[in-house]
Amino acid sequence: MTTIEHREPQFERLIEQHRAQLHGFLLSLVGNLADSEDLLQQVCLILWQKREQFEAGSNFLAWARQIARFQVLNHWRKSSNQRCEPLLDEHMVETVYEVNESREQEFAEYQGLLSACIEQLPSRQRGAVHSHYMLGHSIPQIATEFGIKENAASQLLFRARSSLITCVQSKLKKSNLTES
Amino acid sequence: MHWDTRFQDLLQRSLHGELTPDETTELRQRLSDDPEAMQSYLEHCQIEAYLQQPSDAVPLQTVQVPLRASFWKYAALAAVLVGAALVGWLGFENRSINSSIARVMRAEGSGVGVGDRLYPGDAIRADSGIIELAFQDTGVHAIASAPLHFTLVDEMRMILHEGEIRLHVPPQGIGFVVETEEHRITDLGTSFIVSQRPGASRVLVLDGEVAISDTSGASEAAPQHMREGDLANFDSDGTMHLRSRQRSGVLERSAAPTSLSVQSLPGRLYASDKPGRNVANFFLPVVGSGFTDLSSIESLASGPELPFSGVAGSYDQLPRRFGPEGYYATTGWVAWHSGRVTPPQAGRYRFWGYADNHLIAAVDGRPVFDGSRYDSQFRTQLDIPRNDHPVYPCLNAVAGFASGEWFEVSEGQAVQLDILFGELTANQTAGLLLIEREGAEIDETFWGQPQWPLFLTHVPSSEEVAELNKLRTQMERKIMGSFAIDKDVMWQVAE
Repeated sequence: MTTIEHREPQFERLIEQHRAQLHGFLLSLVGNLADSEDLLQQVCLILWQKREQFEAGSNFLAWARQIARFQVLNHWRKSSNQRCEPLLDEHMVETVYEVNESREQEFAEYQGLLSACIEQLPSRQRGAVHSHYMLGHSIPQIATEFGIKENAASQLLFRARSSLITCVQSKLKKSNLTES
Repeated sequence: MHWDTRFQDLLQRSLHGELTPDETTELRQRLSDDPEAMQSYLEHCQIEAYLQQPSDAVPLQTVQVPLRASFWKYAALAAVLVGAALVGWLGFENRSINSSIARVMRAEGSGVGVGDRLYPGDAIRADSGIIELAFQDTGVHAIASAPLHFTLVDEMRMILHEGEIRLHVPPQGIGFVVETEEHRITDLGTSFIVSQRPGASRVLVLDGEVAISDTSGASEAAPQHMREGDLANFDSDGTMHLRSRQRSGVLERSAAPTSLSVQSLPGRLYASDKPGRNVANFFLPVVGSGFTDLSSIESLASGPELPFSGVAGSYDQLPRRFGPEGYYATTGWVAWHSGRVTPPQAGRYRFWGYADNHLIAAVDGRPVFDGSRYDSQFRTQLDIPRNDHPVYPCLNAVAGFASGEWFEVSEGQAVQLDILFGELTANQTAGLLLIEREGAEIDETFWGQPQWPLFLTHVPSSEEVAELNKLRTQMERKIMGSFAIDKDVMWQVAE
């Protein structure tokens, strides 16, 4: 009994800790935010229900990815009669799975590096990131805020993310060089 | 990797669930055929997921910005506004002031109608919808979204109790004030968003600059500045946390000034590794002795060799990159470059520029230029002749650009040159050091400001030129004044 009481907060923490990376994995599989968010909720619920099956000390994300992948396949099966066709084919799903597995550690470090990278963004990109992700403003809203067209606002966000990717990767490279 | 706009568009629209079946096929094909596109897609998904986390969970470091004791050109403006605010309060809730101050331009789902006039003291509440107001005298536009509660105080001032307001402030509206429970946000032009929710408020600057001060008036601290792209969160106790900050508003060049293999005026950055006197004070006797007596700076620590790449732009990271180990920020730092140089051609020369905080130049031991800010010891303690040109605005001082004395150098003659550049406290360091040869033709900016060439002692690499060009454009846009990069006017370091 005592062990379970200990285990549950710990397990909750595990989910919280890996939630964003798991979301990234789901988003890569389905390609759109709305579906990935629904799936993330379902997967977190299943993880919680199956918490007894998780072996403490083993790789949580590897276990969670298996469950997530299964959920995605289920989701596609259910919606196969509807208009939405999966973005990725089977072969590509495999690639996503492998990349997320091999780069798990690296992706985990992105999170910690992101804040410093946001700070270094050019001011417009930074403003757009703040507006969209922190204030929750939509792309049309950002377009009005910056006096640009919607597709330009969308591109501004894409470029901001691209800059963030370049930045976290270069920071990662630097810290790896220092360590070795 | 630079992606074509089609790929950007497809990826963005995919994220937001907007792809048509044909476009889904197109993106799938692209990801399947091009491994780099697939790679980029995966990276974007991962970063997007991290960014999508509820913002409280995003492990962004919030940076507590120390209040600066002294504050530049808008301090006077903010002080005037405090006075104006008191007058504003007297008229509050008193509808007897008959002239309307604002007009409703757009109203969706709220109790007011388009064309309605609003008067000082009017309060608006709305549970849903959007209201757009135009302030009559100042042309300030405010777009507010519900749930909303705000009060108009006068034509230059409103109080936001709840909701989110985006303001666009044209030049004649500069100084417009939005108050939240704890803060007074003064617009210094031109566009920002304020959101007030129970217990917390946020400000995002879309363009230009705002000053934030304490509404209670209890603190005499100078307002804090926020610039384009900055987002600040305010705790319920009123503490301001800047999510991020572009320090001096202009680029900090990334290239370590230049590669050490290129010969440029040698230098080092001096700082202290413990509390005590301000570093600039240690240099006063050095300057006084014509740079011959160095005993006063023996107790200072110095960093590795610092190549000279001109003085231009922001320098907030410099002490961390080139300062001594254990650099103690609050006592400031001074970078000292010293060596013998020959001019590109004979003639009479003078320096132009400015700095936040210290910048002086001496030829053959005699100071010929002081571009330091008013709070620099070099400015207050050394009597260096100087001409101020407020008509040429600069980044951080009402004095504008400073120019120094003319000095003459003959063909091939090497002169001893000493340049001191530094910071009084810890951050927001910026400077510019330019050189004019008498009679040389100088281009002007669109605003009519001469673009004297940047003072350099080596021919900059193409990377350096690219960065300098970026900085030049940025400065021209922000302060109307910038500089030229002229490879033909380099001063050579003498063997």
